[in-house]
Amino acid sequence: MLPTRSPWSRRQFLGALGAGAVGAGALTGCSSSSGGGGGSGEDGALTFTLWGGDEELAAFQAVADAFQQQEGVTVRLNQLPYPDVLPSVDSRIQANDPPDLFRVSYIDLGRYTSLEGVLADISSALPDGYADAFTPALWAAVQGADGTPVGVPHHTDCSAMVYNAPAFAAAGVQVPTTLDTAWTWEELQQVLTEVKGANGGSYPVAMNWQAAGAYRWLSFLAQAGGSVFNDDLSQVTIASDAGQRALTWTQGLYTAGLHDPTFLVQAGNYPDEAFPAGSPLSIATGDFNLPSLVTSATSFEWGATYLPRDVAAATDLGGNAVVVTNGPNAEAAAKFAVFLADAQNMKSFCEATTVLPTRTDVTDLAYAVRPDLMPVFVEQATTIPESLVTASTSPVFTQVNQALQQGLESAFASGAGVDETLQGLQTAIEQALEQQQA
Amino acid sequence: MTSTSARPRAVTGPGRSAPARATPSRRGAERRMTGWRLTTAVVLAAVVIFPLYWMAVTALSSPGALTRPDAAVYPTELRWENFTRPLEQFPFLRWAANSLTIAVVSVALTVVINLAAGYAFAKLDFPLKNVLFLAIVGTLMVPVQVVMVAQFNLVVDLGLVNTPTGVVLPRLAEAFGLFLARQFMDAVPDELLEAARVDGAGALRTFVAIVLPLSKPLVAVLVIFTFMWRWNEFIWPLIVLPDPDAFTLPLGLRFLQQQFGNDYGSLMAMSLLSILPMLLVFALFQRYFVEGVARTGLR
Amino acid sequence: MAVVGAAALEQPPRVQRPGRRSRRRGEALAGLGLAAPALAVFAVFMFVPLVMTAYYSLTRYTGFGDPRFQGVENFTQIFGDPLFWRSLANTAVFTVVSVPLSVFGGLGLALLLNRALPGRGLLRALFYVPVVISAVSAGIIARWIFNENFGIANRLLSGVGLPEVGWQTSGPAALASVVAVQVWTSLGFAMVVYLAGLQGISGEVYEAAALDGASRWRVLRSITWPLLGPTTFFILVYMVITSFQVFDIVVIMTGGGPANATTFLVNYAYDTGFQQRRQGYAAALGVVLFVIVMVLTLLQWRVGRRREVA
Repeated sequence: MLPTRSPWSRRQFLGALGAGAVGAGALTGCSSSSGGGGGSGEDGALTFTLWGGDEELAAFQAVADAFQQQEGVTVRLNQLPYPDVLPSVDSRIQANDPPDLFRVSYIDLGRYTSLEGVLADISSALPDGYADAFTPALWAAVQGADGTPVGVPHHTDCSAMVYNAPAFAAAGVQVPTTLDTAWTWEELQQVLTEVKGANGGSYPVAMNWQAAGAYRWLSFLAQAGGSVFNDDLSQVTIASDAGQRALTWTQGLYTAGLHDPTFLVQAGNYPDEAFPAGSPLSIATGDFNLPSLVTSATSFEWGATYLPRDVAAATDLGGNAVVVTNGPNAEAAAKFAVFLADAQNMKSFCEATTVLPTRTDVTDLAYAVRPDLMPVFVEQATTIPESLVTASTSPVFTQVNQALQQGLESAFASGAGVDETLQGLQTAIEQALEQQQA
Repeated sequence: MTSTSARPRAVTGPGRSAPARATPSRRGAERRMTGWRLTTAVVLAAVVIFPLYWMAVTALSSPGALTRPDAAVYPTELRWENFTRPLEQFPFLRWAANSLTIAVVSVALTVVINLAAGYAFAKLDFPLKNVLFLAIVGTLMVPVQVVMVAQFNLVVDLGLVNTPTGVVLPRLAEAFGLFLARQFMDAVPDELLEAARVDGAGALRTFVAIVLPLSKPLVAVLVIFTFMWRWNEFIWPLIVLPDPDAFTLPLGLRFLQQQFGNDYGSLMAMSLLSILPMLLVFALFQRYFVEGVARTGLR
Repeated sequence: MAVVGAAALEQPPRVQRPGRRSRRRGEALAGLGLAAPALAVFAVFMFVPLVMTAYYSLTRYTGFGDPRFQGVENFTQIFGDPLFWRSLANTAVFTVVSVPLSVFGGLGLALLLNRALPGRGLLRALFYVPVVISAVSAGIIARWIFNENFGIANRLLSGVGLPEVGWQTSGPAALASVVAVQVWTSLGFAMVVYLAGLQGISGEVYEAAALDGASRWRVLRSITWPLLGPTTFFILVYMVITSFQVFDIVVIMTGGGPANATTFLVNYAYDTGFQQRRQGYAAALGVVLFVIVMVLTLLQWRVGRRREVA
């Protein structure tokens, strides 16, 4: 039983034990001060939890630096991958240690604005007439539970189609250049078939309804004339004729071999990452992806055109707000939010990251990349349906998104029936509504 | 007697000397069998190691190179930027430091707690001893997700979210260490303890003077396994550390995976860096890994 | 002398001399004192959460505000939740496929390496390396290798004339890729435990079998395997419990898709608890899982006991 070779002498051993005990003591000391260095308020610095690509981060940093110059307050950008931002914020709110500001999509905003006491009222930081410069619908989205603003609508964006120019030219396709000549569903189907044929069977399209983008399918629902909720958000109307039409058509893209089957809904497999390699030949994508496409899609010409239309033209409500939490630095954070969304900063942010402003007094933007394509997105953005904007402010919209992830995945991946999928979606959303209202 | 076997890798003995009668033909057959076994083992080892090899190759290649259908299977370039650029851009070293802190403190505390408790449960008698031991060892069966929500709320109430302490403390309640320690302590000969008792030493003194010096193999095993588990742990830090500055390496790696998209070169480079410490530890302390596992299996 | 001493430790004599009793009390105090840190840690961080889980499972709780009691509502929901059954089925399939592969693979490797072989130590170490790297790293490497479009797995397959596999788009293929990674990271462990077990079998048994003229296969089946019973049992229990806890590689490789083909119990519980913020529901899932694992372990124990008795 006695060991033949021992790694330490007894003195070293006891020494290690002692060191461990001291280490543990130091750690406990660490924890009683602000949490892990990420807590707000240690030196008046603001923490701003967000996600973003390289250009967005750089643009946010530029605003943070300008704010530092002007007010002498540092803003620390706390970058996380997109799917982790809200779980991280939630955990920190639960732990009573929220970040001072966080970026949140309009579609997730409803969940937070409906909570009491979590977000801070920033009205005191607003200069006169500040609110009037914003698009009314979006300003309404950042109102909290008691009708006071809790953040700023920072920007918006939407999806349109980006296509592989030589591939489409090979099929002799004329791409619409104005919104009223955008393809109808039938026309698009025809075009895609031709493009597929002329390009050796390569998949001609993939849409951007993956993961948290599942709600973008609602554009197609709106194109068919439908919506998730009725006007006052009290009833679920997804399982309507329009819903049937939309789901049948979109499912049909898969079954007709037009939609690339490796891009479904649940997995974070994004078409804009594969487009530069030459397949699929066209994608639905947001304007915020243009900078990365410019860097990566260098081996062929590509352009942008409008999403198809059915009864109406529609696209999704993209974009994000920046909200202020009810923490110790709420005042300074509110000032930063106001600064972030003022005309000058919004203009430079949108130009650098090719997204769309939410202020009506920000015009004539000189976009940093592909300014020739931005007019398509700007025009497409005028088709964001009111119903979608209102729906997305509902506190259960996050659950709508999750239900769509499940339902669409089974419809597209496993060929589940249209009626049963819609019924499943209807039930899931109704349940979420019930629980919310209870 | 059999001349051929159904499977080339069946053996007849536990690694001790070959059968007494070694005629030349027997020896030839033995050598051929060894040759077969060696070949099979080498081939299988190559298959098992291939993913790591491929990771290293990818870490040194540019993003486009490996995605072409005709890309080579051996490294064709040495692209060190895959390593340097992410190190500049992301707080990789801070994550490594966080992992190290958590691992080291966990190791120290685990060793202390389990040595003491192992001895107590093995050699001392106190009320409810058996019940308590069964209860603790019973938790070996409790998968993490059964208690993770409650543990998180507990950590919230203790104000330990986003701290290394919040990561370390709940994971001290791991029954494996206690199980190992008790088994080890069980095997300490009672005569030694009795001799100490006869000399007038109390239980505590016996522990410090006699048992501890004998416990180095146990300590080695506890250190190795605890370090490995804490260094590699993912789900609990994921829950308790929402702040990227506090991330441990596995969390950081996942973050990088989301950030890098298709830049597999950089991602593999960072993955390689994060497994290197563990590989080093393993290479140095291989003996204890094997010993520790063997100990638990033999009961 | 030693025997008397040992007996004295086990059972103090009936006649209680004062010195003895105070020594026993001293021992009990020392015992409790030494065990106290462990007991405290377990009490606070294991037993209290177990009770809290039971409590949360009966509530609806988003993490904000207070939990709202709602009785067994969560459990009724679970039993009617198709995603729960799906993840349970997936976990069961995953366990049933990956555990035997790891166990028999490990046994094979152990048998292979058991006798003297040049470079045996190195080979053994190489097989064990995947066990020590983190599951996150393993998942990242695997995701790259199994990438449908660029990964080397498909390239190798088409290189030898086999059709390429849809590792991300086909449910069974995705599941297979996760199983492969799990087996890859567990083989070495099973191998090492079996090696230790094999060392414990005395050479005489084999020599007796050789004298009787038994074939290698016969020896393996009728002697080695039964003698390895306890070892196998240990590995089985350990691997079943571990495979029920698979989480990291799924998060990295597939995110639970396609179409929930790789959604397992832990992932589902984590998603409900920390992404959807339905912490009461997640706690209820935990309770259900606990019961399942307990039943499985008890079953295995029973089977193991009976085999040993027989």
